[in-house]
Amino acid sequence: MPTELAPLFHAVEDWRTYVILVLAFGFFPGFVLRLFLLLYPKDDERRPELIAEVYVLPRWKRWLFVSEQMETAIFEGPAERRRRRRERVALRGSDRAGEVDAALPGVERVAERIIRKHGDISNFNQVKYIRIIRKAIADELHDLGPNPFLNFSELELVTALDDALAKRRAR
Amino acid sequence: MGRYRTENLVRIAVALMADQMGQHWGYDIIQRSGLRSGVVYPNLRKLLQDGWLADGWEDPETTGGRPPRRYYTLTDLGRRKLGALIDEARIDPRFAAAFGFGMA
Repeated sequence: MPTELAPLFHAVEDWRTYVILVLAFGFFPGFVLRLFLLLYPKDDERRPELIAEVYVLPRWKRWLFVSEQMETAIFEGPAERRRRRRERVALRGSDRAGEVDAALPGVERVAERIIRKHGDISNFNQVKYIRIIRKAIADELHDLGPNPFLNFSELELVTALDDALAKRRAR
Repeated sequence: MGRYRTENLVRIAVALMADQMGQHWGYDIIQRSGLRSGVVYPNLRKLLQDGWLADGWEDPETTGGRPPRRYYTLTDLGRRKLGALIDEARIDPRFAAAFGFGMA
């Protein structure tokens, strides 16, 4: 045992704490390790790898291995989970961007229909402006049945149509 | 390669390059490099991510009931990069002092 660890054992004056530590790290290192490995994501390969390694170690080295992996898991496990969560959110965002692209021709078509029917509605007051757009969206959904619009909230559709109308005015 | 030039990685490189074509186990690398397990595994993971190492798992039927272990093998890229790293370490006084490499 490394001599620098000796003071730690002297510091554990309560015999119950000492017994728990001996049991946990001396006799159930695999169990303790498994607990800390739960910090890693479920499919992380470090989980089975480290569990396999601990049973190859000489028994007297296992507690040190477990305590080192405990430290690593505490720092790297939650960080890995955060990283994966960010990736998932980014992936969902890119899927959503694809849906928006798919819906753009539909949005352009509805904007065209609004202009044909009402002319330039940019001078209308906001309530009337929104009412016309909402009516056009409802007509589109009613007329065509399933279409890319169904994946969007009304707010998203109103915003998309507002953008499309503004673009047409700018041309 | 700047971020990799650490004493820990040089030790791991030496341990891996001692058997360039063989399978390496985490615990063996720990023993040969003299590093803590908490240092070795994160480094191995970085090497895997960079394609310097490849990994695999033991056949469960040959392990005699214990969980299958993960092994690491050097890729061609890894052999080149780690070889270059060791060459640089040999002439770098910091690493030469740490590992007793000859100042050839």
